[in-house]
Amino acid sequence: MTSTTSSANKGAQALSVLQWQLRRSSGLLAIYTAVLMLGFPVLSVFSLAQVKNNWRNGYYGQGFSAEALQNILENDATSLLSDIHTILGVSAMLLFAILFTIWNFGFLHKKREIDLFHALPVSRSAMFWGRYFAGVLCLYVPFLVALGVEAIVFLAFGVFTPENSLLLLQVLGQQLLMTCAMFSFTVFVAVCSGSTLDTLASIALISGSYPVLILVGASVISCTIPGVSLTPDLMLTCALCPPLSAYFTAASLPGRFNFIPGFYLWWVFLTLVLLGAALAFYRRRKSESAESTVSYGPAKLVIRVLSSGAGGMLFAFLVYNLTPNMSAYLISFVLSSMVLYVVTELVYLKTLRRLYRHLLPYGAVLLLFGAFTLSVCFGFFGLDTYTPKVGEITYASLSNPFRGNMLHNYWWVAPAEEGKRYTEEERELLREQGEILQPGLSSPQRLEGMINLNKTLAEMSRQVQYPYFIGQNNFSARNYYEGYHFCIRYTLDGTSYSREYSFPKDFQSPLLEEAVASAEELFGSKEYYEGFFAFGATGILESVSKYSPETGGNSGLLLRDVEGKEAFLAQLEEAMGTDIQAMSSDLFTQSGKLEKATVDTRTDVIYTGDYASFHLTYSEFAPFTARGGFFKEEPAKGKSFLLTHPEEVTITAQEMPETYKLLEELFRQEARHTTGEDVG
Amino acid sequence: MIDIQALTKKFGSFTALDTISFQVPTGSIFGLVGSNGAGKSTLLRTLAGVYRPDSGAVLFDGQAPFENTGVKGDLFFISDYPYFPPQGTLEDLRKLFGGFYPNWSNETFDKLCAMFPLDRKGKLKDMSKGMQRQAALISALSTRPRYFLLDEIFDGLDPVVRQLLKKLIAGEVADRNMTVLIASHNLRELEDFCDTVALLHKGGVLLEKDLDSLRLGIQRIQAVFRDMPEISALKEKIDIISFERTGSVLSFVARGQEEEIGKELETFGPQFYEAIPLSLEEVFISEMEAAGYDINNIVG
Repeated sequence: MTSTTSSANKGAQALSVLQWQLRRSSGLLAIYTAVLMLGFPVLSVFSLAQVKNNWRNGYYGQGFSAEALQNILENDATSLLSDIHTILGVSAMLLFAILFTIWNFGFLHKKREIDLFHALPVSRSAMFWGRYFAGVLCLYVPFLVALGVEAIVFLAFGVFTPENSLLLLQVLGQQLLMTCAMFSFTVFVAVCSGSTLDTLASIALISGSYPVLILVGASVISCTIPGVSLTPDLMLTCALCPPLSAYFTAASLPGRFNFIPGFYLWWVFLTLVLLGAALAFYRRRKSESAESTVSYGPAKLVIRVLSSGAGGMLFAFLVYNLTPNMSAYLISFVLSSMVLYVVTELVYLKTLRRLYRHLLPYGAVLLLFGAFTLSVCFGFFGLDTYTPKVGEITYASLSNPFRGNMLHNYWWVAPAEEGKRYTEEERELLREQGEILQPGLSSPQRLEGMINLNKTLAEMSRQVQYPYFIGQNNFSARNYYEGYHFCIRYTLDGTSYSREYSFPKDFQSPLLEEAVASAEELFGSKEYYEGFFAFGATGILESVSKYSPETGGNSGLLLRDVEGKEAFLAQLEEAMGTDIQAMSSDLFTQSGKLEKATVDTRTDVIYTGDYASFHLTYSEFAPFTARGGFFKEEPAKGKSFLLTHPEEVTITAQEMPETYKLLEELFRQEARHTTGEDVG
Repeated sequence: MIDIQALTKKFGSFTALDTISFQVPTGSIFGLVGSNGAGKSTLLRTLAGVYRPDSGAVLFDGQAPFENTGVKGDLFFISDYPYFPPQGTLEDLRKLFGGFYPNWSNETFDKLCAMFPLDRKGKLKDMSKGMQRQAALISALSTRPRYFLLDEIFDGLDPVVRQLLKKLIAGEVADRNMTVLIASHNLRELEDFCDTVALLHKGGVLLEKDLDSLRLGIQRIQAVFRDMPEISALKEKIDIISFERTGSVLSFVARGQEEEIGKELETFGPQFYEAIPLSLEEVFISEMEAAGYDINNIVG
């Protein structure tokens, strides 16, 4: 009996490899499945059962309606799924992506194995695809199974709501993409490595070096160049680091951060690039590279240079923060990067005998660091004096240098779960999510003034010290509170950044007088005052003006003079009072219905009958407009407000019909004023 | 036919195979001998398509094996330390190779499994070195290769299995015209098995000859002289490779047929002489010494 198997075409070969590899992977596959099953459905069953028991039968649920309790359970299911996915799902995926890489591509690092597999009548492409897809399947199937069972658990607990089913799909999509990305990355590294230890070291060094370079580089620039405060974009920091990106995407589930399609597209692209590169390198790879130290030497060299540089910069920056001294910074960089370079020599070459021959690339580390440091000291290619053009700015804002820190705190809270009692930690979280708002200036005249002020401040900074010392931009607390402190924030098309300057109280320069005069002019302008839109601002404005959120980029409603403003505010107070009295949340059930609500027109605080204060904010993460916070002129009706008590609770008012009615009227007035037409 | 043409293989700055050329006729058993590091394993791996030649070529009936699944499907390579999948059994090897080799024969596999004393479901990693080699051989022969590349295959095999293996391979060569290339550092293992032997040293082929002609073309002669002739005079008539003189006894190794050498020797009036058979190892030692190599440094 002779086998009829044919290895003629690559597809059949790849399929044979895949089948063989799957058979070999059954043990690891079972472990991964068990981990995910324990993490997702089993944990969910216990957790949801406990929540259900505590709320339905226990002390916490007393006085709650069945509907409210169901909402609590549904919300807990949402939180649970997001947390399990972020903490366990992603961590397990990262670990098993590495394990499956070693399992499926470790043969490249063992001479005996490579003798067998590269002598088989299988093309390299087929060998690669067979093993790659075996790994992908082993990473996908357990997750699909775990999530499928999770959906069944949700169904059993009655929490398989449209929101939760959408979340399940999003978790699935994210995990499938990032699994593929991570596995492609680790396979690429394995193909370029001579041994398994090399592979693991390279994965760790690449994953760590890039984010460290970005973060420390930005920190060094920020603490050195006057005015500059770089906050590296999280997506940029993750852009070449699959493990970090996997956590980032998991943490970006709806309800936490915004969904960023561009980021996902980037990872689709990068995954394809990594996969293509891995295949190309594998096809070119010499079998004799197994157990060797010279598999794709240039790649190893780049990793060593980058990791030594990144590690050196991180250590030097830490030392600098303990001992703010430029010499300490420079010396600690040289020492720590050298140690790291020697360590990587040991890891990759297993000996130091040829270290002296390999010192030339370390020269590149010093050279790159020297070039970076010099460029920072000289303003990083003009970053210190750069100002945007008027036409590029959507709006700009300025903090008051004479009256302390005039940044206005504004509570930006997550949608509250109705009836939920917040723990102290949860309340703390809400407070941490508070955002800072500043009045926005957008007229060309004011923007020109802002830019000129910026230029003056930059010039003053150069007068203090140029070239800059590392750490020169670190503000002293004394300067901040007693001296001159200017903070300009530009919002361009979709992005924003700030320039913050600080000078001591006794600093003397003709330019300072010029800067102060410019700032006063800006602060004294009508546009500056109009930039505020909070209830606290309404009392001092001639007209209710533009509300420009610090982040988000949506413009609010511009209201000009409102006829009968005082009467309108009185009506607003009355309307809100009526709405608040009508609320019947559990909070009010316990403490008695509100008898009175007073709007303080100078602060955005509503005083209730028992003098507890609440901040009034707006739900659904939208900036406030007269139509309830929706830029796209979506009617406010049916939308909810948030009442936040900073000390105790946040509750959501489902309806504030009287307030809406009044705001709608306000909106119509403005629309008539702007377009001359009635808006429905 | 396997045709090796000016093959060079380098590992960094080290040249493992240096422009070697020879041919292995179809249906022959070709032995590769040489000390450790001579390049035998590198040559076999290049022939198996594991390594890509840096220059030159290896051709199986005109086709290179590297990334050529057609050629690879017709050859099987057993390395000096064959790899077995962790927890793997003979049955697993059947699944592995049966899925890839077009000529895989379950019938041959069953027959060979019955022939060798191995447990088909026993874990290979728990088996002795010799048993593992037997497992590799069973798998290899079940693929019914046209070209069989073996690296130090006799290591760890007991004499009975060794003879069984030789018999099996000889049978396959006779029945299917299989071509065998076998590398070993043990000349004695090859002398009763190979048709042709090549000696590799430092990446080059020092010698490549048909064994019969090699044996017939070199002789060890012991002669007794009353008056010992001058060696230089003898060397003018006889192609003496090496010699040793003890009193009136002259022992030498010379190239040529026994009759021809005897005829020339008699002109020097020996009292007595006889030809003593040379082992393959002795033939090699003599040839290498004649070529100016210290044999102790070549065949360790």
